[in-house]
Amino acid sequence: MRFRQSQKRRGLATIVTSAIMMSAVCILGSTGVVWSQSSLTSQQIEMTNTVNDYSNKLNESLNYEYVYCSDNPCQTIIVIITNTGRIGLDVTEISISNKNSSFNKIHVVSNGQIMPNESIVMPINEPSFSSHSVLDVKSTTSRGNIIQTQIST
Amino acid sequence: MVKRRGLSSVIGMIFLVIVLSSTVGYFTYGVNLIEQLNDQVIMKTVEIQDKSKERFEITSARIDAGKFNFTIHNTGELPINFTRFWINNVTDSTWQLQNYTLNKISIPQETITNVGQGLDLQALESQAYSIKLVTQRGNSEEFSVNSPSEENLDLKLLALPETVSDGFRTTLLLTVTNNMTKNSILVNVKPIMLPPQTTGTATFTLISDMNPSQKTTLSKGDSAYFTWVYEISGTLDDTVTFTTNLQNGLPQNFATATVRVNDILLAQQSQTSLSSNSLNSPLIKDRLIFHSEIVGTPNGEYQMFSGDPNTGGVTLSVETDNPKFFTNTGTAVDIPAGNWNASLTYFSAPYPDSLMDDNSANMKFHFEGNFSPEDSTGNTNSHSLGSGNKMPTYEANGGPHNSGAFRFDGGDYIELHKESENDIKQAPDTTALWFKADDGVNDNQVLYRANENNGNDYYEIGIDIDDDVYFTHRGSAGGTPTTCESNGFDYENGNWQHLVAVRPNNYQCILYINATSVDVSSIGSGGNNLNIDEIFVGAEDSNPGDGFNGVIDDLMHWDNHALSSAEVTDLFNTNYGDAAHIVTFYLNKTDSAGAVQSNIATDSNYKLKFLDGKANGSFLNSYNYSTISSGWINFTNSQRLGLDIQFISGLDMDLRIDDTNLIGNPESSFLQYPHAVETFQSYITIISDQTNNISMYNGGPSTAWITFEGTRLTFEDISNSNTFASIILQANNTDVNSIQDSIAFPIGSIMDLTFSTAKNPPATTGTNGQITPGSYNMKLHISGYDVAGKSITRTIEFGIVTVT
Repeated sequence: MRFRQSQKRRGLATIVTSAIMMSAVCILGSTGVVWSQSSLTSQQIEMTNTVNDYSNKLNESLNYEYVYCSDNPCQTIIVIITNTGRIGLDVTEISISNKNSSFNKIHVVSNGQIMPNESIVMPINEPSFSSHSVLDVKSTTSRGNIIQTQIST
Repeated sequence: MVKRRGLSSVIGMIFLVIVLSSTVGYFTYGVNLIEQLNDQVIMKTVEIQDKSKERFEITSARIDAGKFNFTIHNTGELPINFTRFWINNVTDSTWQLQNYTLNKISIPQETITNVGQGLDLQALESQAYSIKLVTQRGNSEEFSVNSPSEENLDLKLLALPETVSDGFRTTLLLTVTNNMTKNSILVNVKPIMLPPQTTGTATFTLISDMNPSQKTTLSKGDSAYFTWVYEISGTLDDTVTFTTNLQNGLPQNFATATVRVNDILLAQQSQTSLSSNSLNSPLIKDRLIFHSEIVGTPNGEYQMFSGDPNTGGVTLSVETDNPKFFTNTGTAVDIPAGNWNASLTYFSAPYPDSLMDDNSANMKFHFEGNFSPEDSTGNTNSHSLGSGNKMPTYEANGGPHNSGAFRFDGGDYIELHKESENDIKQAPDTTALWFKADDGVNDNQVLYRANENNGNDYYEIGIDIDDDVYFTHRGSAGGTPTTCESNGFDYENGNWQHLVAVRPNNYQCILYINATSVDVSSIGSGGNNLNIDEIFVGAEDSNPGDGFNGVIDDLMHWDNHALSSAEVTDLFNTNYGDAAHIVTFYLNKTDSAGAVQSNIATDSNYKLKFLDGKANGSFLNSYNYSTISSGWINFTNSQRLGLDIQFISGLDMDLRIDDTNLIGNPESSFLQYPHAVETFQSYITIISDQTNNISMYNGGPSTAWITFEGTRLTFEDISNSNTFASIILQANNTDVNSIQDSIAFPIGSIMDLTFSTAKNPPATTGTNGQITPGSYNMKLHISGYDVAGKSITRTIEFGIVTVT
């Protein structure tokens, strides 16, 4: 009899204990699954963004259509950039520098958005352009693409 | 228990499925993204390749009816969309850059024409345009329409030939090369011939205008050729200068060519240079050529008359010959007041007489030009003028006798090439030079230094810190240098000093300044053989701190000769500048026997400059004796003009006369007098009833033949209008007639031409109309051809000849 009583008590404890452990496992497992799903999702988003950025940067294509001095001696350089790619782009900065000196004129472009097959004209003024025989003209887009050319003043 | 394990398994499986599906989904998504990116990269690569494969050419560009008309050929393998034109008027600075939308698509190998005709732009032919054509892929081609104004083009104008006879033609050939640094296609290149400039009485006639009238397209690197043909007239040495530039070209972008009226012996047209061996000059009334013949002169003096040199040349030693030249009698000549010039072609002896026997193993530098020093002895020409900013400055009249010299500014140097004529080694040796040292230099100054690379052996001449001049040499590292040094006189005084350093024996030295011995030494030891590797003047290249400040001239080195004291004195007294020879000139009017009747000019102790004959004693230059006469000088037909050259002092002098090989600069020596109407009688006599013989010389470059037609001698009586002519009969004793030309006349050969007696009308036989005695202006007319396929036409005036 004592034996039977003792057996009943141990079975209940086991059940309770098992239930508690299974509950804990379920909770922990669910938490892990939820966390991993969330992490994977965020990583997917991040990967998607990275790939999209790279893809957009890759698809961006721009060319200097004309770069010239509009006056003599040269104090204003006109830069004409054409979007030859399939997506719009945004020219953010044009720098004009001279390799043989520390001269570097940085022109920030505020409205440099160019739709495909369109061009923008940007005059850049600097009185000292004429004191340099050759200048490098470097344009940077918001996606980080850079095109460069040279102009003789 | 079995039931509980089953539940756990179910739960575990659920989690496993969830984890696996998430992982698989994540990787699948990533792979898809990478695939998309890969597609993008491939597309981009294709675009870049397409852009690089895009090819097209502007095959034609012109302006039609005020509109551009371009022809574009798609030479690539892809269709091209030409989207835009950028057009800039480079002539009109007020014009703003403009762009025009085109959007013309061209399939591969297609040529699209009339591009630009629809543009809303009036194009002017008088203006230049820079045009850029842009494609949709971003490629562009820039070219110019009539735009030589962008930068200088390479223009070359040649006159062919540069020298013509009176009435002959020359072809002007203009070469225009598109050497623009920009990748420009020039179109409508149109040269312009500016009004030619003439000198003297020269005139020009345009025979054939520019051909072609323009070059439609001139690609980068290509050349276009244009020709004009002009006929030139004038007298000897008259010139016509032609200048061309380009329509819309830069003002400084032009080319010139000068055509000179001259008789290049014979036959300019063919360039075969035939000359008469007895007389062949055009009549130059005021130029009396010195001839080597003495026949007909009063006492064996040399002939002087208008007529080109007719021998291979004769050299007169002026110091011993004291040459005299006389004109012939026979004509009255009135010479107005004016300038007289004797153009004397000569070379100066390289040394005074005492040194002429030691004229082989040496080197001498007279520094007569702003170029790497030339050794006049011709031993070598591999000398150099320093390097970088260490090059001496040339002063054209900076020498001790107003000759050329080099100025050294402390560190400037000349490096002489080591040869067997300056390599020192065993004594004897001598080095001489003129120097003028700037005052106030507080340092050692090297004038001449030859040394071994390791510095063990050296041979050095210089000025020390005390302003003394020294000469030191050493033959081995451990040896005692042999040194001579002046003492107590400041040679850094801005005056010219003549220095001679002599090494009579291996351990001896003698130092002369201005022909005075200032020090002698016999102290020294070491090697007998003084070995050197390099030789410097003014400074050693590795030691500019001891550089000379001043001027150096007339550097000479004898490698196997020690100048004696007497030779040093002679060298010191030698003038290698503007007074190398002192000569007295007499210009006289004499009777027919040469007795002086009046003196026109006497110039005593006239200075003649040093003319370097270089190693072989060549006639490379001429120098003028000039004087002025006042009032008219009248010669009767029995009087003569005499030029008497009397040598006084200086270097020996070899004068060249009667040399047919001296053409241009210098010419064979002659006397030019103020322009007179009349001409002195030549020394030619024609016998009226005999045939006339004229010897001709073919100076090349082609074998020639003389033809019967057009080859004549004509005679014009100077006192009336009577004229006569002789017909060619034979050439070198073979007949020349209407069915047979002369025998071949090879280069360098002499041909004797025989003419009939002069008659009017001319005839080969009979005496009807035969020339009568008197004074005649005789001309030789020659017609022929050469193996180069060119015709020969030439008239030679012989001056006034006597017919007896």
